Amino acid sequence: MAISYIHLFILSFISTSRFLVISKAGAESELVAYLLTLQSQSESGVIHLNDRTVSKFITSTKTPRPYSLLIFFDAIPLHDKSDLRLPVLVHDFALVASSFIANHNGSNTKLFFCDLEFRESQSSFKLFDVNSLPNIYLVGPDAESLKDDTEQMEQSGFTRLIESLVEFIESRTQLTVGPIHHSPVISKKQMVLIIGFLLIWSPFAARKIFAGETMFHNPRIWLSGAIFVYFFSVSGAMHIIIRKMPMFLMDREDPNKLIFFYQGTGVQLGLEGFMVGFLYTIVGLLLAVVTHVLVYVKDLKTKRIGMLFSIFVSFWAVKQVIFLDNWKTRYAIHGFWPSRWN
Amino acid sequence: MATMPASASDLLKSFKLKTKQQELLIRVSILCLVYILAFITRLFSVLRYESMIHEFDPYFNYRTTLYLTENGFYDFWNWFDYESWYPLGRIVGGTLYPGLMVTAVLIYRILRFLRFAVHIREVCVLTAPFFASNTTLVAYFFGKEIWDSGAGLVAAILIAVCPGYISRSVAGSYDNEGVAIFALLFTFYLFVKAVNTGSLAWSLASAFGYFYMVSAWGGYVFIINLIPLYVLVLLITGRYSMRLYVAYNCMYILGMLLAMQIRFVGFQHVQSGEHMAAMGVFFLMQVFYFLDWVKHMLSDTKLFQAFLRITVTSAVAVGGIALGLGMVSGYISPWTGRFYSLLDPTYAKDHIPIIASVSEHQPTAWSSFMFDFHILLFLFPAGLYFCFKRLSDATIFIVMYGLTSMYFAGVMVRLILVATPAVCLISAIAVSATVKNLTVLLRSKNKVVQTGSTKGSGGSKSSSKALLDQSQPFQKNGAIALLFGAFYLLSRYATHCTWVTSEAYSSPSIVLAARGAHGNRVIFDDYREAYFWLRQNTPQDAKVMSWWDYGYQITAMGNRTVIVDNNTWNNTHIATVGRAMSSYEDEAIEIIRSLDVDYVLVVFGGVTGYSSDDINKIGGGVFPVIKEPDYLVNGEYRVDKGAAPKMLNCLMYKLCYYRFGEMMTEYGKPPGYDRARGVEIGNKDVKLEHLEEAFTTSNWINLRKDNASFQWCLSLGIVDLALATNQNFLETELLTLFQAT
Repeated sequence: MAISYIHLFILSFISTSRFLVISKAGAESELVAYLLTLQSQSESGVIHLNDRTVSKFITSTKTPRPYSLLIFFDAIPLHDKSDLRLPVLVHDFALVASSFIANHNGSNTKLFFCDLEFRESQSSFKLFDVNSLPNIYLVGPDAESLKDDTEQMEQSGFTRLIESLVEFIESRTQLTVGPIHHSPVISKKQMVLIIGFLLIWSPFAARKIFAGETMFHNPRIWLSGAIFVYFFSVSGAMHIIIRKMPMFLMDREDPNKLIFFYQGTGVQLGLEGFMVGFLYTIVGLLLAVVTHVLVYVKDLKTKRIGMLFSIFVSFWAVKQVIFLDNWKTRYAIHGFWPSRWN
Repeated sequence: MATMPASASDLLKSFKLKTKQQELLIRVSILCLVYILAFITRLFSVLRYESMIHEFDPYFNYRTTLYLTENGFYDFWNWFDYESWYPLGRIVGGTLYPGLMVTAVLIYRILRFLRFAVHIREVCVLTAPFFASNTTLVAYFFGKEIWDSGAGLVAAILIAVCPGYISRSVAGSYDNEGVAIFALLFTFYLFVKAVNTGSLAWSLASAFGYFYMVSAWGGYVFIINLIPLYVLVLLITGRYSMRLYVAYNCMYILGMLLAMQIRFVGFQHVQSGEHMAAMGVFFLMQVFYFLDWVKHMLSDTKLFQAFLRITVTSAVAVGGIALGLGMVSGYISPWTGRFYSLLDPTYAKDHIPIIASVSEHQPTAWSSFMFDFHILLFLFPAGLYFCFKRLSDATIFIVMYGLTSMYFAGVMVRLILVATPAVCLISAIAVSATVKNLTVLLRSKNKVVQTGSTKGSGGSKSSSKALLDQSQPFQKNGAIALLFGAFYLLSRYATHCTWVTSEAYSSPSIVLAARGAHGNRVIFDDYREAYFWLRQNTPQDAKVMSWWDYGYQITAMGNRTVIVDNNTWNNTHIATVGRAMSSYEDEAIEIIRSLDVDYVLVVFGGVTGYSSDDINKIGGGVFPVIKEPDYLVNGEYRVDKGAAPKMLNCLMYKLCYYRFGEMMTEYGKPPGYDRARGVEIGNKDVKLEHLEEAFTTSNWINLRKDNASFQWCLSLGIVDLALATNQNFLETELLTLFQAT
């Protein structure tokens, strides 16, 4: 409330000192009020702009405007391009917006968070001269030309958008953003529900465990779990998760070609890892199948074929892995025979 | 003369052993050979270079061991080290795991007592191979416990040469892991033995094994979480027994009390979140026991079930409330970053850049597994399958150990080490079971093998082959061929291991070797040259600033005070150094003066240009003044003319390229040609205002012209331990010392 009083005071100060622009101030406060309603209508507090509203709030108003606009340029058709990470950026932007609004108790009228969508606002994109995404522009109170007077956030900031956006806002607008309110993974209500459920469920589970009739008593499930853990580890899945490696790369020179294998130690692509992990696993599993399953097969021919098949596949898989490893690391892993025989 | 043959045959007869004795003799001699093999295969670096300590951390361990031998245990325990982390200093006695040092000193004392005049350094150098040999024995007994003595023997052989283990236990690698893997496997073995026998003596022994592990390595957290997890799985799968109860309770209580005697652990063992699982399972065991007792007392099953419901609900509730209260009141501390990063692998990257930046903490790519395990990797799933076919308490344990450690190995490269014993054991089961069946087949008297025989012992490739060919005469030949195939593959494994050890894991990384143009080995000893220069030519109380990698080595070899070292306990202090290195000279000199620094040491040259991006991450993490993009051009590090101006003028750049512009490095290239990145440097006229050159080591000048693949690198970042050893790079370092004036 205090802030709004101050704000009213400033407004009245402006209006008393400059009688001639009373009407303008009135129009401005109308715009601010409109922006505030738009902001409250949006769930995250990000105002969705289009060509009409851009002209209403920016190009057709006279400077200085009583507000700054921070505009995120979005394009829904590009959301599925994983290297742009647009959905993540949209989410981060909305998070900063909602935190900013919450930290100012909704009484902020200096800065509004907006977004523009490419398909519906192409002319605005042209006004800003935006040709690439992601992009964030700050339209200050004095910005006349959208091309020259606006400030663009540096591209390097998009890797850690939340931190760099806060820094950007604070350095350019002299407003404080305050702490970012990350939404918790599990809300309090869910937490209570889960705990309650666990409490009710535990005696039943305990009884079943005592009686020995859960699926945990089935070795098959444990076995498949174990094989999965093995596959998961040796295929470098953790590497993919931690480094956020893509499944495959596009060839820069020939866009129709896909790159599945990456040369160089310490780095791997997703599908590459899964393929090799599969090769690792298949040999051991074939040995196990041959010794524990195939022996029960009655038909001699099937047995023979199965045997030869697994020998052949194992040989091929090991050879393939060694070949790939040597290619990848340029390091001659020892295979079936001395490397000089190759 | 005529009686001679008779008496000789008598003599021979009396020496003739029974089959059992023969088998024992063979087994013991194999074990002896494996014991020796494990030791000698780790001696490459001693033979190739000399008996010296390797890398970085071992120098700290060596320094503390030296202190321990000179000043005794109590002084060691209370040691406050003024020579590192200047001006903060470091409480050494309370912030290290003393197991390694105490072990080395103990061996040293015993040798001295036996009148072997050895130097403590030799003991330190050979500690890791010695313990690797001991590990093979433990692996034998462990394999015998979970499967049979054949599997034990194979496990011993496999682990003796497995590169995953050798990487941390070559001669000279005097680090905690060297003894810790032995302690880890020993504890596990004793615990499994305790579970199998239910004997109090074995569980007592495993508690002491655990104590040794706690005293040696921070990785003990793995034990104290794996064992409760194992017990929990046994409980869930309905394998609760009195043996388990005795083994776990004794091990946990006694192990806990003993572990708390280590100062670095202390009350953490009952307070920190990492140890809570063990405590929870301990209480759960009591509940299980209590319920069992009540069930025994109550004959009515309905009554018992009602009772069960109430007890379990209240137990879970009480446990949950206690844990919650402990967390809220701060009595139970939350998990530390390193531990958290294992459970949520992306955690470290976002929150603790200094942990994530170390190359041995990188997530593992598939090729590293192949490099360290070779055929074991293919045998592992088969071994898992065999274990599941013959489930017992022991095989469940090894399966769980294998899987958890395999998962962790995927998260961090260095944890391949922890997974190695498990992989060796499980693969040994696969090998042993297969080979055993092949030989059984060979020995059987021409008769067809019954289908029943494969049912019991797990069968193998050959027996199925035999069944396949039962009506044909190829049965034995097939078995022989497969047997030879198996041995051939194992011999390839041995070749691979020896080759990896020789090529990748035996470089001391303090003395560097490269191959010259004619394939001859060129040795660069610049590090030691610089450290000995420091020791000889600088005042006793001189303070040296360098990037933290070299801290331990400077204190140990140069005997001078350092600002930061490899014990990265204070990120701010490290960032201050990083900031000084990456700012302009006049800004840097203020930091340098405020830290009271006399000398700045920079290492020029290095392994790859790759690691250099980390310094600014760390520097920028604490000081927002330093921003990584300032040093990059289009997201790339460059040092040539197109480099960022901040890069061209930062202290690190100036120190590294000082007088470099006037130097011809390669024939046919302009002066000031940087060979690591293959560019001509951008700022050839480096002038220093506040610093002056004190000393530059020799390889800067003595570079041979024909050595075309020689590499230079601006070492801004962290020397890649694990990555470097995996790559056959030709490497050299150039050390330059600058004196602050």
